[in-house]
Amino acid sequence: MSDEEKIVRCEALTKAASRCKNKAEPGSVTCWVHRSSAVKLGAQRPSVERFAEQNLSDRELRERLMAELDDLIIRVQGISPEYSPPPFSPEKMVDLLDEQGEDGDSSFRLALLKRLRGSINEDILDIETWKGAWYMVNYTIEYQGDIVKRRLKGDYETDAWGLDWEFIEAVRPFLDFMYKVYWRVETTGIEHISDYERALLVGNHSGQLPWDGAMLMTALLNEHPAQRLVRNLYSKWLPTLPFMSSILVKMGQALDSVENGVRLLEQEELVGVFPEGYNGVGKLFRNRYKLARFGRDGFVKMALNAQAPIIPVSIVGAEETYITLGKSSTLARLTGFPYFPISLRFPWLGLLGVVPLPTKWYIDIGQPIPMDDYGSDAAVNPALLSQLTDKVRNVIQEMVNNRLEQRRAIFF
Amino acid sequence: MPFFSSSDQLYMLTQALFDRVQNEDRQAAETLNKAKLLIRFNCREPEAVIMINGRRVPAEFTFGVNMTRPEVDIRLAADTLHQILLGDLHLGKALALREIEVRGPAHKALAVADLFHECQSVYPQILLEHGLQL
Amino acid sequence: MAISDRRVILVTGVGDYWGARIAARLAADPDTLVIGLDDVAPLEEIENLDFIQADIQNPLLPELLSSEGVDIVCHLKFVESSDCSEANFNLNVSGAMKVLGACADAGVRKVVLRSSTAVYGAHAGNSAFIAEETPLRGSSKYGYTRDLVELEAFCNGFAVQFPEISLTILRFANIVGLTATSPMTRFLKHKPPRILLGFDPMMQIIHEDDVVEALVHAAQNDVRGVFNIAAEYAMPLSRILRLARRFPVHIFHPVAYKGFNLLRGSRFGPAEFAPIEWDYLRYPWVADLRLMVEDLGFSPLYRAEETLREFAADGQYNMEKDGDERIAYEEGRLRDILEIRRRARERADQ
Repeated sequence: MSDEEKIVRCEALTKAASRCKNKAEPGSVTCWVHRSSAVKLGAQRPSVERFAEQNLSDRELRERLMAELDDLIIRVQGISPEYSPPPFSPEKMVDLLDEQGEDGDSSFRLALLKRLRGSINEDILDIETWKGAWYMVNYTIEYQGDIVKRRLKGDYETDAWGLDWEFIEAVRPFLDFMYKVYWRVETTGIEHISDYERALLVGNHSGQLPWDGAMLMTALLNEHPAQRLVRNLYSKWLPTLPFMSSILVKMGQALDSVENGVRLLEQEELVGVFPEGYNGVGKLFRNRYKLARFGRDGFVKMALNAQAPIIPVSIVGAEETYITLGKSSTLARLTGFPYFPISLRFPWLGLLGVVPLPTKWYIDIGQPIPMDDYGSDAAVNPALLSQLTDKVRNVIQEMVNNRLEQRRAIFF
Repeated sequence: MPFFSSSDQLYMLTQALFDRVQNEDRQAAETLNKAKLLIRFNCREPEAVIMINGRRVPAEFTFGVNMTRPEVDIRLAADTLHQILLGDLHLGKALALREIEVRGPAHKALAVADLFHECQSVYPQILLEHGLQL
Repeated sequence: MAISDRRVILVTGVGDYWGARIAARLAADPDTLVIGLDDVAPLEEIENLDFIQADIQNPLLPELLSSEGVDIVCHLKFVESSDCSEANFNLNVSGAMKVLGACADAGVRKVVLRSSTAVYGAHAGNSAFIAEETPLRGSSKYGYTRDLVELEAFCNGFAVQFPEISLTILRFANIVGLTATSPMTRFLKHKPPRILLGFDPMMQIIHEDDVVEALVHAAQNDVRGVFNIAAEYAMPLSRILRLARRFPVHIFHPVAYKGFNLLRGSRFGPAEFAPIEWDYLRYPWVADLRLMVEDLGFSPLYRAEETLREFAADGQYNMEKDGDERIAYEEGRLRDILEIRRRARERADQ
């Protein structure tokens, strides 16, 4: 390396964390590319001498030394890039820091390194924990790889309805994003849902696609103490579209029929229904949050047959995700959809109009309405059925109105 | 020789430990609540199942199998748990040495590292109180 | 035991796969006298089988039944083809009607028929578990479903008209096995199997040995009615394909349906392209098995996963070529086999 010593090379590190090979400018330690870093690099040298002068305690001195040692190791590795780091090395971790540190000043980098080391334990030379963090990333990747291998062999479980937990885990990050970041859903009343017993969740429906069902499901997965899964019932129009039915089935949802609902409830599952159906989803903007007539009274029959309590749920925020101005029955007939909404953005903006708006959502879960008091013949008593249907609808409407009053703005 | 002589003993000790930590130090329990953590430890030698539920307030510790599905599922030898509680073994290091097996989002598991850190100061005392040598 | 004390079972269709297998299985029982009826002899000699060569549509059938003192008839003569030909219809439906009529005339006690869960039809609005009393909406595009729907409609009326005959119809899910041919096996053996893009319905499987066992069980026991028969737990089509180690090609559905229509009437016939109708690969048609377990008292020996893995092994569709994975695969296969044998032993002990 004697030749290297004669030519002064730039001391900065490139974006790839390798040593920059350019010649340094005369009177400087960096090349013209890294001119701006010159100040930082220059500043580093004097600080080392300063530290040597002060009378620091042994321990502090050791800490500083360790930090500098680390820096040195990085530089060495930057110079000889063909040296590949051992499998679990904190190098990548520090690289990340370097990238950030290059914009800040060097003392910031030092401080960061120290912080990280301090957060382990006093044993400064313990890089085991670094290995651990690095390992976790590797492990997650490998674990995903394992999952893929297993799934390719068909070696996974689905329940009799088609529920696939691994699929749910896979889409969970997306749902969590929509739940926590995009719509910033606030959920109240989770305590009304028991840990292991059956219940029928009845909600108001709005927004053009079944996002409200998805968010209700995510709310319970994220917040309920027993991580319960809501098995929503979807309308029979959805499965005619590709991908929809297989996704819904893998998430444990089932077709909307009294038979399916009762069977699920009898297996002590939580079932979610949105009785407004198309009336709810196709609502015009000026009718928002006025619950449409609850189609058929299937859900009450379900609850009575299975003796499951009805838990009203109000979802506010979904109506404004798509602002429907009108419906075109002609277009509906042409495309085969049950209705064709004309909103501010769809169909004018085409598929872009399908992206929902990031309004703020509130999910309020109300007190359960028990079904035990009604006799076994209640399910065939039309008067009782319509009475209960109206009662549930009114309760939900009231909950929606309450929340609307409390709400200050649509997007916040 | 496994440290714990039976599942019951393990349950009793961990129960006493968590009770003590909760009473004395609210902070660790609060991190569990904030993270809404639902994590399950499946021990072998002896067989034991411990579930930590941060979604209940205050955080709930249940022993034995139940129907709740956890977010993170960890398999480990009871002795490894013992070492972690003593502070001899860091959770991250245990992962690195492949002494524990994690299913589910592993980063969520680290939220429990805080709790274990709190346990370290209390655990030896609990052991002594129950007449066990370290 | 004197000959007159023995139960007499007549099996039609012994020249074909199912008839031959059921006849062989029934004939193994020394208390039973099995008469096989078909216009062609069985391919392999079946021990203890009394074979009579005749067409089922022969008008002398009632005489045959009464003179031989037949107690039970297993009518398994059925041409399983996707063609909607008149000839097949005559044999499958009219022929069966004649056989049933003959049974009524001759005072036969019991009749067993083999049907399929495809008779329910695959529709978006299907219940997640279809019960036996659900109205049949099987498609009429393929011969075998069309014929079965017609036949079952007739049987409905027949059972009401002749309540003294114990009529048992077994509706089988997709049959998979090493020797049988069924729409599902043809589908799985395609290179590559073709499915619709974006659709992954829940489907059921039954092992060919369990089909035989179920039919024999129905013949030997005093139960009447219609029963769905399948291995417990339906699974998505994608999982079926993966367990069978087949990697399908996805076709966008409008194209698939168009292609089907174009091929109809052509020399190749749609069955070559799509042995299972597209609708059945698109919407669920899962049958409820409660009656099978509770009333019929039958429980399949093979689980769906085991059936498919066996099928994959035989077709050598497995992917593992090297070292560790190969060993794990072999281990899995043997584990399956041992598990099945253990279950069979347990049942024999009971």
